[in-house]
Amino acid sequence: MGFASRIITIFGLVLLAHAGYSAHEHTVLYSNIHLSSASTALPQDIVIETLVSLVIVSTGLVLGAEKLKPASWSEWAKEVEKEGAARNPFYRLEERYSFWDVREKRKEFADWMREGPVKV
Amino acid sequence: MPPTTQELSLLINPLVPESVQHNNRVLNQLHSLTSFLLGLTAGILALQSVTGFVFYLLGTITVSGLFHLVLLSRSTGKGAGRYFAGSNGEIEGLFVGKDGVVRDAGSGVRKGAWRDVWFGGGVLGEALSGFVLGWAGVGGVLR
Repeated sequence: MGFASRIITIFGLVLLAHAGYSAHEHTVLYSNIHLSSASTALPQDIVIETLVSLVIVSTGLVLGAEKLKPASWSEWAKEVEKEGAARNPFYRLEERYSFWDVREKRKEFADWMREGPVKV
Repeated sequence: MPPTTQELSLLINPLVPESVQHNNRVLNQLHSLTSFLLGLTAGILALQSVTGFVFYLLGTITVSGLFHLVLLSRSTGKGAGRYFAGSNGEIEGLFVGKDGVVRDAGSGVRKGAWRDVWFGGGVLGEALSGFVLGWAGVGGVLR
């Protein structure tokens, strides 16, 4: 989540909380009045604040959502190649020893066994 | 029997299951969060019965629209087909001749992936229950 999107989200949440508290105050203030049903409706500014805060929060959440990964193998492989060894699941297969002359190595080892210990 | 276009699509341009799962999870998280917020708003506005569900519908449409816009701008116009499997991963524009030869391998964009963005992510399941939770909770506290 980026810094900007987090700020947007938090700002929207503060607005939403404020709108909720205002609505609560409104109902508390008007709970003793039993005159008309029209007065219990929420004031226009609270409604507008709520809707605006909702849009702001959802914008922040959408912008801050995790980055999507490409679904096709070809594009995914392109990205993985660019990012290097850390994310590449086939790195183990790509970086390997080439062919190895076992006979040669055995011969070397045998020579060393014959001569090495004497030298030291 | 010749292979269907869907089978051919998956052979020519295979999907990465890990990526598809990741994308679906991101969408799921977004929808559950935003639907809970929608529920809070509906509670504050004291909506009742059908009005609340209409509000939910409009709200999710807005969120999906925003998500799709961001997705379009990030994928340089390729859209949801780049990230979601759509209808079983079929590729758009794949053309197979009558002799069974693939004439056009398509653009690599999945067909019908917009449906995943607009109807997927648990919009009618988990997200809806989150909405009702927030709606009823806030409605009960405030009134």
